[in-house]
Amino acid sequence: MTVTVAPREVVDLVHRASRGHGCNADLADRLAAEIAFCEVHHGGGLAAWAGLIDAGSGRLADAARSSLRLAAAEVVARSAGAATIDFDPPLPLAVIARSLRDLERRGVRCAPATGGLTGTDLVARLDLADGGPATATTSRSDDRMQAALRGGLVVDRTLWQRVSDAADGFLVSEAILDAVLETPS
Amino acid sequence: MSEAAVRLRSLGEALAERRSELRPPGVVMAPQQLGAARLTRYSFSRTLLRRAAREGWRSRLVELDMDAEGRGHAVYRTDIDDHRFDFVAFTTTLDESLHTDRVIAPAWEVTGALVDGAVDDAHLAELREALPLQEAARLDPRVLVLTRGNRSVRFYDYLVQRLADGRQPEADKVADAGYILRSTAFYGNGKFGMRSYLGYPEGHPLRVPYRAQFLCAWMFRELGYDQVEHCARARGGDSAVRFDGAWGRYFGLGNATGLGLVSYAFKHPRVLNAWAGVRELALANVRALPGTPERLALLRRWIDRAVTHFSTLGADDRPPWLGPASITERARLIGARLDEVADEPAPFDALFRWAETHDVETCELVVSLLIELDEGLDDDEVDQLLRVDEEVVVDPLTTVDVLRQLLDERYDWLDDLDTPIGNHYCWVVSDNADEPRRVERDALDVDHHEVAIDMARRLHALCRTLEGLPGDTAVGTLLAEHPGHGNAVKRLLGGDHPYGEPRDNACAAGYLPLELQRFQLAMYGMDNYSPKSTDWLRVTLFQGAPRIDDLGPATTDDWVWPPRPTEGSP
Repeated sequence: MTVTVAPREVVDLVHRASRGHGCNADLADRLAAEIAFCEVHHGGGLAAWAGLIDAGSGRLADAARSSLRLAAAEVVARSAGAATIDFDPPLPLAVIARSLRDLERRGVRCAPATGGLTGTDLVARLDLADGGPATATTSRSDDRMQAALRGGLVVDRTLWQRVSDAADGFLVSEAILDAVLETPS
Repeated sequence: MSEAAVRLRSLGEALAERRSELRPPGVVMAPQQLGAARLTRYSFSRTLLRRAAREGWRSRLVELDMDAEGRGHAVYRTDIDDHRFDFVAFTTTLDESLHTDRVIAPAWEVTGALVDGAVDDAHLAELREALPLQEAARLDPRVLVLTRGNRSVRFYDYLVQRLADGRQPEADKVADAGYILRSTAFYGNGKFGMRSYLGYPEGHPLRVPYRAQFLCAWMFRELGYDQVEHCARARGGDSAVRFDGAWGRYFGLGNATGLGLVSYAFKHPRVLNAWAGVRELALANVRALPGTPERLALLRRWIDRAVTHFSTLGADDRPPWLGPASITERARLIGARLDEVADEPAPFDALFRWAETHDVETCELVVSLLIELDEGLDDDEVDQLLRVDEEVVVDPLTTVDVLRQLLDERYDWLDDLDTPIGNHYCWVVSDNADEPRRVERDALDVDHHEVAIDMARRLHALCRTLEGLPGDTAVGTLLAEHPGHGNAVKRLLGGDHPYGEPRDNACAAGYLPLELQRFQLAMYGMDNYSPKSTDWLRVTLFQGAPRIDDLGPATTDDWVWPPRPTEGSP
């Protein structure tokens, strides 16, 4: 069973759902962008998110920081010509998929190549090398994203419901708000 | 494309090239100034109808199936070249106890959607189930906009009875009634499974920010007229009449607006910059114009129109803003000042400079009036300037020195916000219809629930972190150690958007949401701002606008601020 969703819904829901699992607003924003990008371009983004939740407390937030560690490694690669980053435990591609795309667009080559992976495939180590051709296009200009924006993104209904349920935890009960608010909205 | 459009290839270029002619961001984005904004000729309701008239959009009611109480459905169809859009509305009646002033509610008397393409029976059946669910609905990319609203409790039945009796409304009974139906939301852009705005293909006639929402709103307003006339016919039979004369245009669509606008504004600096930037460019254009008799006469007509309109809007009790009587007085003063400066070489600039020294309501009314004279921007160019790409990619090699420099250049006003009470409120989202709310931080444990719209505070916190770091530290290294600064860094590196930041702290004890709300509503093209608390207000849009049958090449753009009709059967 599937459901068609808009890319922004993936971003909104993953952000909200991640907040209750140890991600602050900044990390949740970053993770949501990675997962949505992965769902559009590789598939398996939502499945990877659910897998991290299943992996236990703190795993999601740790994984969310991986894209920041990757950015720090990119700094080394572009300064020194090369860098290696290890992920222990290995992490699903979904949490760094967008960052890898951005990094390659800035002329950093990445090995092994991840283009053929899906979001749940694990990445244990990446070798980064400076010197590739830089490109400037944004994610919204590519065909897959355009298709998703135009016609929606087909995702697994059970996974979607799971993320939606988790996202509900971000909301605050109206009854509680009414009790503490000075002025009604 | 006009010569001006070629010259102004991007908003950023335009604002940079003409910086010396423009009002400084510190003035434009000051909270009180934002809270005095008024609609202009570049507001979305105006640009929609100008384009619709110019390009021959054809709208019509194709189906109205309602009982005597106005319960049923209606379909309005708009053809734009070879594109077809249907506005579908389902109507019912609610017990008065279910009517609410709040933006959120469990049920609505009207639920509607704008659909890309003609709605067939199967889709109509789907929408009949889905639309009343509103935020709980799952829609699909055929749907562009989802909306809802209620009848005016005070006036709907009165209007039905008057028409049923064969009479027009009495002018003094509808003093401040600028609408028949009142909407509360126009969801779009991928919400609830609808089409993403960026998914509108090249050449799509609604591929301009908020154009789909405003086409939907214009149809919604039409529904109010048709529904009242339908109910009047059912009640009065052959005695019933339709709205005639100026009454046929006087009523707009009401709108109640809550805190959702505030979080949107703080999260979309490029959008805000575009809205304010277009307005400021237009103002600069007009200030530079010499005062020909034609221009002076046109401005006087607009001032007179403002005086006439606001003088009929009723009581003067709309704190924190001026009410209609005071606005009327300000408009008269503006007219008198125009007479005094009319012979100066640059009378419009002189009028503006005079207004700058007065209260913000006077100043922004003058801005709105002056922009009616703008000849420098055309609608194609404005549409282009309003399209912004909000994607920001941060280069991890950017250094702390660069961040410091950008903070110094663009955010020197942050220090003014760092008061002991600057963290009084936090913002959360209610489980009731996803409505943003603000709540005293001490009153609730909001861990993991807080909405990050406190950009001023976040940038200020980044400043403090940067104080202890070597200048050549890379952003990639900084964020790996301080992941909580991600959004602040992104904001800083997102480009130079001079009008992108409200100079305010949404978490401060004295923060007044109404100010930013009014700015946005003005940019949309709404007026008649009626605050109902510090956090929400009512407005009117499309009041005086052409009806769908009026639209044609001869349709003029001077429909805003209509005079209250005086005719009407006793």
